[in-house]
Amino acid sequence: MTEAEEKKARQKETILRYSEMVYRLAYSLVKDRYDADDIYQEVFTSYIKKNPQFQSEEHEKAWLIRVTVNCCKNFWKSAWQNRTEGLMEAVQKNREDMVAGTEESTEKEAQNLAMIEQVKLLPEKYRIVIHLFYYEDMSVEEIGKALKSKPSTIRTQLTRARRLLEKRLKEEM
Amino acid sequence: MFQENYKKAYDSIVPDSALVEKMLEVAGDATVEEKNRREGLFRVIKPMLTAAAVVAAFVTIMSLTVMPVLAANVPAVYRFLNGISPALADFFVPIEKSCTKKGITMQVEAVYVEGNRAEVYISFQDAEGAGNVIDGEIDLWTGYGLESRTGCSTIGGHSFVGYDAETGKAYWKVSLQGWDEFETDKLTFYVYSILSSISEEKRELDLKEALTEAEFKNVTLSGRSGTQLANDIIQRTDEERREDPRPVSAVMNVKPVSECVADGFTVTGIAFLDGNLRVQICMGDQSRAVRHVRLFLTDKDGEERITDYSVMWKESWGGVDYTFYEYVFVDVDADADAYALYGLFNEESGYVEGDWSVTFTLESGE
Repeated sequence: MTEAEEKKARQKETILRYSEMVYRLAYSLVKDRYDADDIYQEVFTSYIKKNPQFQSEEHEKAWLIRVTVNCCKNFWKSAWQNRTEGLMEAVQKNREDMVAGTEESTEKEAQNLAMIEQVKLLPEKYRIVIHLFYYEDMSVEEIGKALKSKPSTIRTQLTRARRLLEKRLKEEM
Repeated sequence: MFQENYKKAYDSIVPDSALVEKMLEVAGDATVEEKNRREGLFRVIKPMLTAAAVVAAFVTIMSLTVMPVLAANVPAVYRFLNGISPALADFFVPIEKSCTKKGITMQVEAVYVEGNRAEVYISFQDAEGAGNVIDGEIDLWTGYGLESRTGCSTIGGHSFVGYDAETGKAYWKVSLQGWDEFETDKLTFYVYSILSSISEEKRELDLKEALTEAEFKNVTLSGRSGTQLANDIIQRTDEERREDPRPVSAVMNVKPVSECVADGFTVTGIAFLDGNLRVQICMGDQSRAVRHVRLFLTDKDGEERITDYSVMWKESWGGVDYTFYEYVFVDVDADADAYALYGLFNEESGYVEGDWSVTFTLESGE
């Protein structure tokens, strides 16, 4: 296998492995699937162009998380200027997206959608830690490493996010 | 309960397959894109190239480039950047400030900062009278970044640019991005540590030695990639998850950690189990080296595939943490003659912790 073929294979492997992780994280941070599509493409285009060399799979995962979060942050900045769509409208669009994606919307699914909507109403920094902790099963230390923040900062954000969510969802976390 | 519901809700959020296909296509065309990029902007040389090839490339760049306006007193970095791309050199501010620790000098050669993005050219060389560590094949290891009064870099990537045998300098380009704009009146660039030895070896793994039976054990994962088989994931109570949110998975219980080497690779087990091929490799002590493996399985038709998923965990023995990976190829017949398996074993070692740091201002350089 030539060096170019090896690089191509490695990049494809990374895209396949982390597609869902990047997309879900993006979706948890932006308003709808259309925005998540944009972020997804931006993250992997950046990955292909930069072709970073990773020391380990942990390093690779952390890099992709950081780039996704950063792309979302840049997106929020531009969205602040350019978009007039209200968050509640976006939440409604999410609901339609997700219902369309399920064959049968049961009561349980409706509850899950309501929960996601409540998470999406949290400040961005809280959404990031909630998603990485509860979906990606990352520890506070791992999130801190990935986001280059102190574990104590992540722990505080997680505690505050949980408190806000507990109030809204009336559910113990 | 919350975690379970949150996961269920998000399990259905996946990228459209057309979107994934599109990105795979872009990755397939990247060689063309990179070729254009090399010609137009800057030259990136992979660290895995041999030192000789890198030196040859560097010397070629330097000797073929006409630099009529550059006199002997022009900073070396300008000559270097001009050799790569004259257009690029115009954007960079020469810094040429250095820090020597552990017999190695890190020099911040030139910097380009725009808003929250920065590109930094740095070099490493052996300090005068010190040992012979910097020979062209090094890698930046834990932690590097740029700090200003208002914030610091949050993401970064680095690429080896070239090695100048004449000066003994290994050049790196570091790209950084922060949450907020960098204030340019006082910037600090730092690198905690480097790895001074890089190697890659292709090894054939004999499937005839593969087991067809193996016991499993549960381990707490430090990382995973790909979509793991549901059978491998151990279900736990909410309380257990609250105590330690990391997932627990079943892996092969083959060779004990006490039989693994700390400073290299140990293939601890290969097995055809339940229609899958599992390969378990211990990467040794990763605190002062980086070891990773990419596995490729080829069938009789010559079709090559990569692992479907992998999990990573750590085990301690004798006060040392050993890192293990178990790679899984899904849907593989238990027929050793039908396949060939090989791996690319990468190792970056020669850990040097220096905590090099250089503070500079862009105003004075402009």
